[in-house]
Amino acid sequence: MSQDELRQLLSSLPEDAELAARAARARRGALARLEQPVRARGGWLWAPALAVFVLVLAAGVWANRARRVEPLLWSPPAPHIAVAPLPAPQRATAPKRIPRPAPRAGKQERLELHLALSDGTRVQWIFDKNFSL
Amino acid sequence: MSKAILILILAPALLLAEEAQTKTVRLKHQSPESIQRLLNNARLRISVSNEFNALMLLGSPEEVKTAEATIAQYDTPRRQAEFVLRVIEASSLPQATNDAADLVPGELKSLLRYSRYAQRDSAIARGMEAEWLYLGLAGNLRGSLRFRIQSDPASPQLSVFLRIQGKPQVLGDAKSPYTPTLLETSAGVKDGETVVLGASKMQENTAALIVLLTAKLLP
Repeated sequence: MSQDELRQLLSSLPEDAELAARAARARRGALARLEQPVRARGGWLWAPALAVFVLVLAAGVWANRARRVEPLLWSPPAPHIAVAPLPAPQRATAPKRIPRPAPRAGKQERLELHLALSDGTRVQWIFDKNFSL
Repeated sequence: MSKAILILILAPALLLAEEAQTKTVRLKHQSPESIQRLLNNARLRISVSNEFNALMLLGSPEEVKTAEATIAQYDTPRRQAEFVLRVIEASSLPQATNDAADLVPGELKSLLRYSRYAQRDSAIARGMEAEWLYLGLAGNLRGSLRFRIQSDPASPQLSVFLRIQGKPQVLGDAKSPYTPTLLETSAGVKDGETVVLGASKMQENTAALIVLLTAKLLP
């Protein structure tokens, strides 16, 4: 191939219809790429939520079953109170309270008397109401 | 300006700090509590140390000096004394003995109008000043005695507290017995003096308790 033919081949442009078709194909491809991830993202969000809901539902059903008490195979008879052979209660007699001798109000209980006898002997005499030898 | 305010604030505090004085006094004979009670003064601050038998005084120099003088006056060696007690029961019962009639002064007997004087017990007690002396007397009687030297050493007078308790009695359904006090009094007794202490009922003079107390200071 001569130089002139190569230069002509490289400098030649496609036809207008070819350019329009290529541009339309490129636009469609770009639009398809743009819409595809959005659809995928929406699907991946719903899937874990649905799985968790299913798991919670299953756990609730299991817990409800486990909580239930199975009926006894044999029921014991009801207990009854035995009668004890005890005497009937009697009223206790209250012990008699002997009060301590209380001093009467208003009367003098103690009187201390100081005397000096003629020989110089000093006497201190105590009169006490509660004195009992 | 700020320096002047600072001086005005600090000057009274510095003056007070100079006035207050702290002094520690070690006691030789008496307990710190008894001396503290003696020095009970609102202006003088006293701290007691039983461990070191000491008093710490905080106050003005004059107050501390006065307190020191008081401590020196009262922190004297504790004296020892001997007491002779004759416990006599006076009554008018004809069957009662009359072996202590001579011990009771005749003038007192004429005032009392009892006919019989029986000696129940006699006891000698010897002890230190401010210490309790306990006596077990005949007929389930119990005595307790304590004395202090009241006046100056030249003519000492003993302030004696005496309590005679009777036979324990159980009243009603009480669990612990009740011990009646027959005689309880304080008497000032001179060295070598005998004092007559008596107790009876006010109106029913069926019996009386007479204690002849003789005190003697020991060297």
